[in-house]
Amino acid sequence: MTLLRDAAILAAALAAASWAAGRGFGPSLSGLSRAERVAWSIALGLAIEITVFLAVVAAGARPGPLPMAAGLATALLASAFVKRSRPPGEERIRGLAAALLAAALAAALLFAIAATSEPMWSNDFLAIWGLKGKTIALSGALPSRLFHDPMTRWSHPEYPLFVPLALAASSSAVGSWNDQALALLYPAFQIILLAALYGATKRRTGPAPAALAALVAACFFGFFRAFGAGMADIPLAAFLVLFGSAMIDFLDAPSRAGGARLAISSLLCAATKQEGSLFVLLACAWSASFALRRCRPRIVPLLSLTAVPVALHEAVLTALRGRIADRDYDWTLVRAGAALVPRAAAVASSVLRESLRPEAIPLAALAGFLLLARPAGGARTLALLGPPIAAQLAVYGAVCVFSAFDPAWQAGFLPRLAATLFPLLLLAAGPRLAFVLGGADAAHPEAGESASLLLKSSPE
Amino acid sequence: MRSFRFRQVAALVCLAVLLAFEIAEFRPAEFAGRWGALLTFGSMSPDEARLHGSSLAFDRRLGPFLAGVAAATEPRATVALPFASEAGSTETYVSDYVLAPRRIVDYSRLGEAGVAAARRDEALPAGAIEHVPFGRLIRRP
Repeated sequence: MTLLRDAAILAAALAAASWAAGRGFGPSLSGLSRAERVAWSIALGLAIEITVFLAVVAAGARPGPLPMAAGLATALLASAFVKRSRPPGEERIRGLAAALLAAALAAALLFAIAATSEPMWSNDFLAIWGLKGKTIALSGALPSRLFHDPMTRWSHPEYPLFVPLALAASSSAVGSWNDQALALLYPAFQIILLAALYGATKRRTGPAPAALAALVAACFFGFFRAFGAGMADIPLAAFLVLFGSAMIDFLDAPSRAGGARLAISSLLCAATKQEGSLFVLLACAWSASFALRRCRPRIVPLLSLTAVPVALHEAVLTALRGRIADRDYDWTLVRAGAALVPRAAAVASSVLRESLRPEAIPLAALAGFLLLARPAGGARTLALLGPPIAAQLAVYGAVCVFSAFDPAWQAGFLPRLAATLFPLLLLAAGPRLAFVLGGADAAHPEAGESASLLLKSSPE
Repeated sequence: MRSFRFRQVAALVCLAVLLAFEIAEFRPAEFAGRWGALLTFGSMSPDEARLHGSSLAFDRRLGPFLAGVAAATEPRATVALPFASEAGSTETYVSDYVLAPRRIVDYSRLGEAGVAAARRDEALPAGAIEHVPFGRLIRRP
């Protein structure tokens, strides 16, 4: 049973790295719920595995189980010297919250089975993420042909490298490239997403709305399906939730720990997909506009904790591989003027066609929910995260106009791209979920209290 | 109060519709197939699982051919394949992935390759032929 053995080693390595991360980054996780600590520990654990892998490669050694084990043991040892911070006690989950949470966990289990049912197979995995991960893992290096070989221009050499490096690091820990066992990373990303969403919503609105948010996210079967394993959409959705929560925390009450989380999550988003960089920059601009009107001293920390990590990531990638043109878009079309109108019409018509299909009914239901439900305790998380989400969707549509291919064909990818923002929208809508539960948690001690103070007096 | 109650019920209905459509995306029959696949593929070696998996379902002969080429070449080799395409195609993606970390080129870059391989019905440059499942290859000086 190669799969069982490899999956067990992969899980053990990730657990060790996560434990080291949870302990080592403990001070940065202060004030978070237990679920959020789990989410952050796994995300940072993956980052530790990648760091160890890159350190082995940089040292000129061959990545494999022994060097990876030695690196992880060093991380564990180093983390033992960090003073342990105990998370605050949390009330036991029972009743409706427990039932909703159990249902969410059952849905997550279904995805875990689907994701690991066979070697990852989606086109994007074979052509982009898996190809790069396997090449890096088995050559024990980051060969320059990954970025400059004309024969693999279709593999998007301009994309960031978190996912290929996570696959390569995990396979090195296992000792072989087992792409069915590696699919286990995707349930791990889903756990990051659900735990971060549940924990952050619970802190603000109580356990029942948090469990409902987790259930709605976990039941997003159109997104959490076998096809999604091996691509970057699920990791990006998870990191966007970490980023959104860190952003709200930092604007609410700036702290060193909150700042660290904001910077790390900005970096994780940028390192996963270009759409992650875009969202971080849009959210940064939107929050800065609030800060400009209400609290100017927060602008510099905001910029340095969001835009700077994104810029640093870009600088490192440029140093590594030089500047690479994105072959999907033809920006010379900017000068085309009126010739852009039919292209814009083609994109608009494609979006409209999608919007009139029965599949769009849940979108209408979501919009209806957001309009009808009132946020518990006046919390206004949607005012902070909603506009950048809307702006991101608008940018997705706008860039299709500049597609180097048929703009309508490019617009066909919009639903998949938009889906990565749904869990983040649930985080933003968290305070509204208490409303539909009969205000069961409206009396929660923290309901509405911890939503951004910057936004308290702003109209939503 | 009545207005509050109405909004609450309406919002709940919207959320229920959203959840119902999400759950409708779950296909029990497909999931049963996935569970069966997990048990089947789980008992195979990674290479064997790849050959029988969905990524090669479009051409069941391509997998053994690529596995044969992989077994006959060094991981550092550059392999020329007649169907490799600069523009990209399903066959190209699968070949590049299965043969990674080898570099794959098309026949227009034959000079960069140490090995040229072709399936049975495809042309192969002159040289001493070695047979692999569903194809053959030659080593270039």
